[in-house]
Amino acid sequence: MKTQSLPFIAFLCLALGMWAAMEYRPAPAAPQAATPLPPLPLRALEGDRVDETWAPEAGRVSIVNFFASWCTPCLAEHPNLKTLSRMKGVDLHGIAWNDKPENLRAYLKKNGNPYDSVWRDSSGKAAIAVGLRGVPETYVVGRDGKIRLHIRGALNDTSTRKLTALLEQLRTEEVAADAPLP
Amino acid sequence: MIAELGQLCLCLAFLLACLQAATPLLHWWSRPHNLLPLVRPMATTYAMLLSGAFAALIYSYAISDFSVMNVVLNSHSAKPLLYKIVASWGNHEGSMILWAWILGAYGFVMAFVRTSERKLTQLALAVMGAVNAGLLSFILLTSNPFLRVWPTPAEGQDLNPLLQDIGLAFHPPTLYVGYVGFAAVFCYAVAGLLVRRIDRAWALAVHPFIMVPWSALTLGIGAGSWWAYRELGWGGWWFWDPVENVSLLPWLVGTALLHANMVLARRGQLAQWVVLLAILAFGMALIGTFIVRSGLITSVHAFASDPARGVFILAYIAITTGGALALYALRPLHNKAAPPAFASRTGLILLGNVLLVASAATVLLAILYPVFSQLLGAPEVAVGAPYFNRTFLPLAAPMLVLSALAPLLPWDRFTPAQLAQRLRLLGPALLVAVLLVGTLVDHEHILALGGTALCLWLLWGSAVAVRRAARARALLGSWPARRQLAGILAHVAVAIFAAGVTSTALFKQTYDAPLEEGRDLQFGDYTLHLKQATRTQEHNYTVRRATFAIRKNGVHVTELSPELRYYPVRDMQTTEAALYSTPMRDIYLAIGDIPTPKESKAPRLGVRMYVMPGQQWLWFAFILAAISGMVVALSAFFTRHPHGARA
Repeated sequence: MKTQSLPFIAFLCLALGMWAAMEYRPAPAAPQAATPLPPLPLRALEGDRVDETWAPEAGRVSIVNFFASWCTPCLAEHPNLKTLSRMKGVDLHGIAWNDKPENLRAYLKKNGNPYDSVWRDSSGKAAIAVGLRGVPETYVVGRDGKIRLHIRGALNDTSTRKLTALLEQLRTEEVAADAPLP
Repeated sequence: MIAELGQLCLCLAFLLACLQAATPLLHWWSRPHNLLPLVRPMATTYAMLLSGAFAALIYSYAISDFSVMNVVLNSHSAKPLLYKIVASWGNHEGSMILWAWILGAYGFVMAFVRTSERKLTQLALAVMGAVNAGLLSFILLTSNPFLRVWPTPAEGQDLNPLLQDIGLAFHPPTLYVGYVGFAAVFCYAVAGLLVRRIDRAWALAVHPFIMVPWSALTLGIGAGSWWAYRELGWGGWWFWDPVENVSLLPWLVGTALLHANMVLARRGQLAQWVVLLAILAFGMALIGTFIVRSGLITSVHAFASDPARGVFILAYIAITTGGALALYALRPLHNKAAPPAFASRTGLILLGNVLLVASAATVLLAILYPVFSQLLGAPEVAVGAPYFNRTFLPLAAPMLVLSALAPLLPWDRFTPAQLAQRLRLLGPALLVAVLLVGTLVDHEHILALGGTALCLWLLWGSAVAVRRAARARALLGSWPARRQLAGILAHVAVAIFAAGVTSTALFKQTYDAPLEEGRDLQFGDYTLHLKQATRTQEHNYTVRRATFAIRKNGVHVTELSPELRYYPVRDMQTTEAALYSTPMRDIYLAIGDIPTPKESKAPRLGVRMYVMPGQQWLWFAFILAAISGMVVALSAFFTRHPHGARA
């Protein structure tokens, strides 16, 4: 073999290695897994209630869904949210990001309201606090207030099934049991 | 509208870049018409279009156009205008536009500068077209900064408070001018391989395109280090962080390249090696980009971590660097120059090259080892300072020895007598070093002894070189003389840098103590008296500030006010260290929370003080090296056609 092909061969090995490292990298331990949902400064959709440190009720299993009336993927996941809202013992909270109250009301009236409570993140601070990248994003919060699952993007049938299974498990497990993530 | 114009500029630039890349094929197809000269206007137009796109992005940031998603995510209307503008490249998408714009600017310069190597430059510009096209398809497909969001949010989501610093205005642009700049010499290398001609004329034509990126990269690394030193509150200036290491890769290969290219320009030797280094320098810059942007590693520079982007960049690297290396393997050059003798300046430069490339390989190994070991199922590891102290220092020390010796020896084969004579010239330096350090510090400090000896050796060697140069011709009288002097000054910068590293690493003093009102703190020779402690509410953060009067052996030195800022929106705390700098030492003072004993209720503040001797030498060395590099670049621009270059 000519020595001049050695750099190319070395490069090829390196590139393949980097590709493999990227492709088969063990999923990083989800940083949210152990962290509690930060307190969120929110405003209720109905009434004047302002809560600077909103958190889902302690001791309950909750879903926190960031959405917006202008967001098409949110509309796409709406039926899945309705399915989830039928689960017993699970609270479904909606947080509207960058939205106007009148648009929100119209949206929920037209498509149905699956949420147990609807909040507005009018300042955008709640979105910053959780590190929202866009809407929709969904968090599953355990009885201990810790984030158990975080889904970026719209829920589809597969992720909804996964979510349902996790919620069943969380609902039945003891409070504060640190179950491993699915 | 402005954002759409920016987008349009990008799309047109992409089409133009494709055309520019295809020009040699069109030229061959439409013979005997000569289409090749068309690449020049194409490259200049491309630069204009990219300037338009970049200006559109900056404008969107300046007016806080929150209908642009990128602006929403990275800016805020309450930010000062300077930080709004700076924020346009403080994120992944914007920084890629900056990257592409700088690449366009290099193309513009390549097209603009008249050279005797017209055909070669035209071909290199065509290669540059391909490089541009790949980059723009990456931007347009995965990282478009001009995407709109509807309806328009009322307010942006701010910027990381760490990035609201003047350092961001300098650090990325200078670093990118360095990274991206190696693309120019890469294109020349590919063009040279295509026509199978890499010779002295080639080396003279590309030398400015090696020196400008090298100087900028030096400055960029220095600026990043300065920023970390001031802003991160860790009391250090280099942390062997993977992203810092990544910027070191092209710098080390680039340093090897500039020395090897000197040999090629003067002696016509090492052509094959120079071409390989030219390909690798740009390849290293791209690999660095890949590592930072693909989320392969975690670091303080947690940039966009998106595997889809990673795959794209990897494909881009495979096509550019892999393609160039395949060409290198398939088209050996016909170089008739004799291989260099080991006992010659060329031989010593080659030895230095080997050391530089070996140290680059060490760094690359350190970056990738944790990634690969994790892939093989091993537990997570971090490679840090102990590894580099054991691998990097043994490689750096002989480099310092060589850089004093090589400039004093003839390019041709030297005799043992000549070597002995040069060593006698350098002897006093060694003697002084041993005596000086032997009396000043205790004998445990063998590293300090070694470090100081190497610095003095190099400084003395540089002084001897200046004296010899001054005897031969008037210093500063002509560009070649200035170039020679600048080269020596760059070595002086290395000596000063090594002195700074030695003294900050070995003689840094660290003091910690809890803060108690009414009690002075005694840190070595220094007494700290707390004059005032305040807590105030600023626009988007709260500040705790402590003002200290510092005395050394009873004599007042200065007053310092370190701060601790808390940004509630991001639940983020930043340290604003206070600095007192003198040419000999820095006093670095920071405050922070310290672990609280269980019985006390309020969290306690602690004070940390570092005394860093020689810290300013490091910044001076970075600047001196960059200036020297720029002088060499200028000289190379002005002396591109010396007589006999084509011999």
